[in-house]
Amino acid sequence: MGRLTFVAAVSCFVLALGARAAEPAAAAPATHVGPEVCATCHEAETASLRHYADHPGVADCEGCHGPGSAHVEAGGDATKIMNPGKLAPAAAAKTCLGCHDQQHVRDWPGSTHQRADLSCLSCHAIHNKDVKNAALLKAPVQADVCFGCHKMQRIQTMMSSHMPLRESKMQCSDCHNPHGSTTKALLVDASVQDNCIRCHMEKRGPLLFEHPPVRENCLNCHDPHGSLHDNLLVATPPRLCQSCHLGTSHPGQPRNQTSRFVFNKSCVNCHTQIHGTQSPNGTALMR
Amino acid sequence: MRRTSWLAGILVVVAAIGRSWSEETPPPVPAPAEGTTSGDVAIGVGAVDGLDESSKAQQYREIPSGFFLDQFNFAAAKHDWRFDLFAVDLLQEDQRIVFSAQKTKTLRINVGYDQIPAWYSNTAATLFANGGGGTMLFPATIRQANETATPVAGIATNLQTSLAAAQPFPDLRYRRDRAFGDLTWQTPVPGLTATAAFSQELRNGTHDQTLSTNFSVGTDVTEFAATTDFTSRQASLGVDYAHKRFDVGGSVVWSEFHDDMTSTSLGTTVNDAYIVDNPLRATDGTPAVPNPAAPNNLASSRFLLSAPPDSRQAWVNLHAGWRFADWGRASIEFAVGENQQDENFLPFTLNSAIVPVTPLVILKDGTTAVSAYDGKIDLTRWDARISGHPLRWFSFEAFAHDYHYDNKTPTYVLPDWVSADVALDGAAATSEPFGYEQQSYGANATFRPNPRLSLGIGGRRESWDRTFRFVDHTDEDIFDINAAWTPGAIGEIRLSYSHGERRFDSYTSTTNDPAGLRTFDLANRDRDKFQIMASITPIDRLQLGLQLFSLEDTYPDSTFGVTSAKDDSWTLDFAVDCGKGVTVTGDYGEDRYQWTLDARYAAVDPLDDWSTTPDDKTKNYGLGVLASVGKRWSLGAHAAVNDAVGKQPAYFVPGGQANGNGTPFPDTSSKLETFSADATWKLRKHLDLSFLVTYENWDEANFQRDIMVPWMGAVDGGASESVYLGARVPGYDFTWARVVMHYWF
Repeated sequence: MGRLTFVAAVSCFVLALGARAAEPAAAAPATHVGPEVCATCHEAETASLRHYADHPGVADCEGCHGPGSAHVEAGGDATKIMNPGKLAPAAAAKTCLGCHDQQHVRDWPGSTHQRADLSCLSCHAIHNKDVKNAALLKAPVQADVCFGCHKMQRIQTMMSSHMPLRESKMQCSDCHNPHGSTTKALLVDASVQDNCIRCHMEKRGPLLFEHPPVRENCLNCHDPHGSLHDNLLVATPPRLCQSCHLGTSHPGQPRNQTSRFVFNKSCVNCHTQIHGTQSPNGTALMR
Repeated sequence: MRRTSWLAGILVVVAAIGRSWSEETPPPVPAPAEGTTSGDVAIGVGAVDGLDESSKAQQYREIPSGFFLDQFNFAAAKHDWRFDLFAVDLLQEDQRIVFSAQKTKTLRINVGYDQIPAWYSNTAATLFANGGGGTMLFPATIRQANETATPVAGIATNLQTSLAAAQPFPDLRYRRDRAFGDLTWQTPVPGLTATAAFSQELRNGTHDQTLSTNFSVGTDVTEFAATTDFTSRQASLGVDYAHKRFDVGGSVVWSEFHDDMTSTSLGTTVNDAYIVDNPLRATDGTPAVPNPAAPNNLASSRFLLSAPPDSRQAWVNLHAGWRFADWGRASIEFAVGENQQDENFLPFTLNSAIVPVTPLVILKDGTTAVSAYDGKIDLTRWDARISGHPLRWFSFEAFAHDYHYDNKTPTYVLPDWVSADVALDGAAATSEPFGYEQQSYGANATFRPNPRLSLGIGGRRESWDRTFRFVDHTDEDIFDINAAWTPGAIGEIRLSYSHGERRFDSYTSTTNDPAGLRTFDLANRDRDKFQIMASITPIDRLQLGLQLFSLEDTYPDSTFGVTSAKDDSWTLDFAVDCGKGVTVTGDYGEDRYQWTLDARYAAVDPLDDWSTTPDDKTKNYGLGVLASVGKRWSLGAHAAVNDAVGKQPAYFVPGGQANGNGTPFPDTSSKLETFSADATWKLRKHLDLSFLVTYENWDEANFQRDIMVPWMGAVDGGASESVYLGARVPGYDFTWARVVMHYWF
């Protein structure tokens, strides 16, 4: 009996899986009416619809909302037409993924934001005529959309040492792909190093004398979202350097603020080539 | 729906207040009818006060005074083509221009140009003149006077007096100019898309650069305004094919970096290096061959400092994926790449008095004499992932990832090396071509017992293999759980917790390091991370948000070095619809990062124990109001404060002398206050007039090098003659008022 129960359970699971994987049932017997019909009642939504302007004849109202004849015939009954804004996140995203599922969006399934139950409409507003953005984001400044949830990063970007994010000279998507990525923190590139070096190419190397923590991960010393300390450093030298270099001789001393090992650029006064050097005399990263 | 409306409302408020900052992507204009044009232009006139106080106010931007073109959009449609031109801050240091052309279902082309300034300091002073490229010339008269002057008193006096007369102070700034473009072509073959992209960036200007010169006698450190002359280029070609549930594609990405600087001095020309005059000497000298004219200084008359060398990189990427109907996807990516850097070796020294017994020949792999570097990195990456939600109540993901930075560069033996251009050190040095491989794999699952509740669990392992480091191999096992609860329209709450343990196989210390010293990036580490995110709408007109974040690292195996670190943050925000077209938003947040460093100088003496607990605290708060008055006026105002203090207390053993270094470091503080307000009057259907004012005040103490005032006098032995730029970044206080007319056509 136990074995039969087990077989039955497995069979039910397989059937459920198959049913889930089967093609969806045919849509309601409605037909397309065209955007001109939609505009007779929804003038504001259609007049400023950039999405349609970009894809005329391809992505009109019914491309997302489905055939509208039943909705029209019912005098505008909202239950007779699909509204992605009222669907569960996965179903809402499916509407967009029907066209937008390649290139930078192809890793959406299983991505961090998808698993957090977000959908395309969490960040994008197709109809919001008051807020215009070429990526159809809900705010004109991309960072404001991200900071809606990532509030800690917003605090950091307001710090004195920062990348030009709040000056709108770069965007969150310059480093992150919010639609999904195979790397941690949804980075655009394959590693932290590759991500940073795409803009800071002078640090790429390889170099004759390397500083291994630099080559391995920029985040060992820098906080890219913002810092109280110069050059986006997580701490001020010499303490930052002493977090690894605490041996005998001069690195291990606590130092006075007027010591030549502390004032001005501290350790980097002499070890100027902290990211590595090509000099034959660079064994101590001084030249 | 209500929550979504509120979120949109908040973003509208933020957008309205942030309007003066917005200059990112081109805001779309209504689609022009066939054969017509449309667009908008915003022109302003303004006045600004207080920008001269500090470079920090315009570190990454230009704030214009007088007439300015805020933004310009132009769109045209003809047959199947649509054209867009977008420009913002035109003719300013931070301008951006983008042109787009697209043909329905076929082609999209974007080309653009932008500039990002980077203004480091407007208070620097230097005695070094730029002799072209990276050649830094020191005034000959001062050099010659320093040659025979008495150290400490005479030289310091010479330099201080001269520096005071060095006017005007040179700006330390460069600008990043970038040209870019991309193309997407939907080919006639259904599902086949081709892409191409390119970019070129020029980075020109100056940056602050230090050079360690001579130790124990003469100038210790020299600082000058170095040339920045970088060119970076990147290009890519790609093709993607999608058919039903299957997709495949690939791309080739190439990039190169050029340091376009060449330095020439006294008949010597070097690429990718700076040649810097010695402030104390006009001719070379060493302990063995001193210059009689400058007996107190045994250094080179010129110093050589390397600059970033040219390099190239290429990647070939392949990817393929399969969708399981509408419930899942499996994908795999594979990429190979290579970095190359093959510049000629720089000379060991320009000091003619240093004559080695045998020529200094660099040996590749210790055997073959070479004159150029043969740097090569083989890059390999692959990713595999399967994810899906096969059942309404169950979703999962499994993944594996590998990134290999395989350093194929030979080892180079340098038979000797020059210490501060005084003498040969007398010992060989060997390069260490550092490489690593990082692997991670794991899985997670999410269960939804009902539509309002989800529970997730997951785990992964991250492994590192490294060469030429204290630790060859580490494994980190991470376990995480999360939950999300949506109790109806009132809101939602998300909780997550993760615990990770990183362990190394073995740790090989150097002989100079005390036993138990660990570097934080390799040491055994336990990491706990906890996060709460909540969004609550208790009544229709009020929305509240709360976030808590806590991260704690402990290093169980580390006796010395970083032994703990903690990062705690929380934020609270609200949005209120007060009725009559008035919306008020506010937020408050705190962030605190603290860590502990246990140290000992000279391991044999317990009285020399010391430790420090750096502690950075930041508070951020703001308040905003948006109001619509009648049909023609909209008003907005927003004020925000970011207030941060960093402490570096040090602790010593009771009775310990701490080597006479008991004076604590001063606190670093930074406080930014911003206020912006705007009033927009809708004059006509297509014409707005806006009145805007922005106020910023930034106060700082000991930020950047201010923490230790640039020193030109006796500090401790050997530092009495340092020549510093004196670059500081003081606080600022500016007000910018402007009127902007916005017209749509």
